[in-house]
Amino acid sequence: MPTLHHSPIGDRVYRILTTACAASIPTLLLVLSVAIGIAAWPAVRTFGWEFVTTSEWDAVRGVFGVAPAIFGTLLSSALALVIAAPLAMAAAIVTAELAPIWLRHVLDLLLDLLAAIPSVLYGLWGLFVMVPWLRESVMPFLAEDLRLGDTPLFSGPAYGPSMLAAGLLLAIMVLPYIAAVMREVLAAVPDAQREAALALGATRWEVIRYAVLPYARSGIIGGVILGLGRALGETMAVTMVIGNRHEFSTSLFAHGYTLASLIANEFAEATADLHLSALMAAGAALLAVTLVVNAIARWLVWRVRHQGAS
Amino acid sequence: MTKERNIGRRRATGGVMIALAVAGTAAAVVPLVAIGWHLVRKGLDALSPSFFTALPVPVGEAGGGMANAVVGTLLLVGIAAAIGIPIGIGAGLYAAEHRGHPLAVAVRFVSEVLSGLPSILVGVFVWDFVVRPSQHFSALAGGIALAVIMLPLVARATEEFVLLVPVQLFETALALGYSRWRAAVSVVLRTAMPGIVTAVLVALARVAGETAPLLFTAFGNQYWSVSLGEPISALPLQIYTYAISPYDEWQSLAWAGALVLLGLALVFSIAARLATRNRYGRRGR
Amino acid sequence: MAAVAAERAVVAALSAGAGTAALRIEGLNATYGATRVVRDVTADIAPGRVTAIIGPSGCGKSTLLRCLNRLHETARNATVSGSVWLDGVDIYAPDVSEVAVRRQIALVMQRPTPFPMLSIAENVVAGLRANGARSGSALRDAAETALRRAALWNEVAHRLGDSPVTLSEGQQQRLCIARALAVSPRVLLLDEPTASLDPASVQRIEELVYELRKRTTVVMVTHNMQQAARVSDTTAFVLHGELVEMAPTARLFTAPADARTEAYITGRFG
Repeated sequence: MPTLHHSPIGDRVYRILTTACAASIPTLLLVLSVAIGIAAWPAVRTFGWEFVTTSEWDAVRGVFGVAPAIFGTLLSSALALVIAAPLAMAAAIVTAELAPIWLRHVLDLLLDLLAAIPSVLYGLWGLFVMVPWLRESVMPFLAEDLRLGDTPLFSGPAYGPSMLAAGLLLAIMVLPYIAAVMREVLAAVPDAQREAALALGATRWEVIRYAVLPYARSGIIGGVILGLGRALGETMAVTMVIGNRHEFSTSLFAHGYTLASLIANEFAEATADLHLSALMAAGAALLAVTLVVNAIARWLVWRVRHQGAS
Repeated sequence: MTKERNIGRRRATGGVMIALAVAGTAAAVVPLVAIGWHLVRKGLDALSPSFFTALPVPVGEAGGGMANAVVGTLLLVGIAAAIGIPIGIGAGLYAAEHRGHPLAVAVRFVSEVLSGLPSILVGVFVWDFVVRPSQHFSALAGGIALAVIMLPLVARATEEFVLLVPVQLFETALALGYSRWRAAVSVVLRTAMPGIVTAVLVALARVAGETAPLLFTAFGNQYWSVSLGEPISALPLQIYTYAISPYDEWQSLAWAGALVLLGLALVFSIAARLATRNRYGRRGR
Repeated sequence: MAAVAAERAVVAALSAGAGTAALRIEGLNATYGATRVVRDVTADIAPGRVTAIIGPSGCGKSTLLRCLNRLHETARNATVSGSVWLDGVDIYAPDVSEVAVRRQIALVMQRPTPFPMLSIAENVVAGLRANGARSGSALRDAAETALRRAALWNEVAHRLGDSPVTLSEGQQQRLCIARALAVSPRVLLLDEPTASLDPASVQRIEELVYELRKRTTVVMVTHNMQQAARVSDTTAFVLHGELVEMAPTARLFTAPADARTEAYITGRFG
């Protein structure tokens, strides 16, 4: 006769295991942040604020100022967004609102494929195809044919690897992510909004412009900021096309640096403790910036997702 | 009358905007075509069977391949999977079961944050934690770095797909006398598996293509190595090293490697897409 | 070999119909969050009989049922208090494991819930497997027995390896019943088992339930008074979580003692 008792060991083990696994994730982030912070501390203590404000970077003399890298990170990302955001918006509108179902699937697939390409392959293509194209066609066109060569933005010799190259390549890389978020956000707009506008006699475009976009606005902005977050952290592709020079310049044709490529280039060879710590501090700066930017982006997107429910 | 003219103007504006949107979309798609074209053409030119069988040779010598890099990538991805998948599934199960509990909320939130982190920072962290104390680069360190990237992806997917399983299925198992852990694993997790497998495939594709986290963990190796404690080559690493080198033969090999890597990434992505269609599979096998 | 023989014995004991059991419910209370859903229910469920529980929707019938196999407490913010005696053992006693309870008191839910990733045969023996049975032949026999008792064998014998989603809803529900029967529970709980089915399936399941009484105690929640009248020996009327009246079915429907019962039966509400 089966008894009414049963050993709860299995349940207990299961509970302990799953709790441990769950705890590992926040712990991981915490440990990662703390470790980078601790490793960065010597440099921060040595240089203080000058670390982010000065531009001299000399490993031999032990002087480290990361301002050009910060500037380069921001500029390349901003450039990428300026190019990618409108195109992503266009792609999202076409995919979510205008295209017939079959085309929607094709576009989704294409954007997914773009997102699946590893960074180093973008870099390879950027280095051997895009940069020569820029050097031989685009940059001369901008400098001479459009006479922009005298403006600060397009001055200087056109070597090829440049801030422009980095911005352009980044734009291509973040575009599918921005487009995906925008597409999702547009799809989350309730049909009631569109129907109300149609009932008032709006044209197709007007429905999009006046009924759909405003509703999804914070999500759209969130998508752009998400793209910013990705652009800030992109390493390999940028390293291969930006020129890797600690330099400030207003010109997009000039070489530059980003925090991520700085770390990628110098970390393996850094032997001096201070040098390493300075690189860690660059990493800490990058970490802080991406955490904040991603948090803002996700909050904005979350807001649109839950707007419909209220 | 004014109304008619107005409508005409509004329609025209709309037409222009839509045309712009279409143009923008085309512009967005063009790079994909361009990249794909070049990768395929240059890659095919450079690719030969020796790519998979030969080891790197010094510059100037004929032949040479990336056999060690291909194997290295497989090993690294294997380590990442062995660490990241079980822990990720465990975390996802917890988050789904204890919805609303602070730890569950933390898992979901932090997973999103972690998966948006620059992967180079993951490499830096693992260097600090594993490479620095052990005084050498290693395949294990590289695998751990990739595992850190995989973990949040698997956890999120597990939580998402476990939550999709109707609670009645869990209760039915309990009602049959399943213990809680068995009901969670043999019934709920198993039902959620197809979706989780899809997400894991996508995550595997992603970590297979990662370079930055391997720069100072696995580090790369010109020679054959499958030892966990030694530096190891990996496909994306090797591509990078060769691409930025000044030698034509190496650059050519980089293209070949790129084609192989692209093929790998695409195969996984397409497999994941196909699997999505069979998500609530017919035979469940 | 000895291991297989021992296993056969366990499965046989489980399948031999460990018999019918009496349930005594005493002072049962259940809540969902702040709401009390079952109020102070005390009742005797006779062994080897079909007891129906009727009442308007949302009045705690299902919750009451789920308290009988300790399933209610697994939901969030759900509490239970009181006692339920299964042949003299209080299933809510602190040293009694709820898993063991549920192996002896089985529950079939309102909508069919076959395990989608298992085949038909695997579904039937799922409960046996969870209790440790492994041997293929013992399980095959148990599956056939259960499917025959659930009047499903003839329809699925030739496709035991198929997915349950290929069955009709009525067949799926009978599969769930077979699955519950396979572990030879001493009490079988049915929560509106025919609510979502077509009339032909309803009839087959009613016949099935009527047959089952010989070997298992059955407690069935139903929305359908005619069904209760057709199938059960005793009927309990539950209103707002309270057990209003419980009596032999014939008497409850022809001469109810409580005015509320009469109002419900004659259709004045619910």
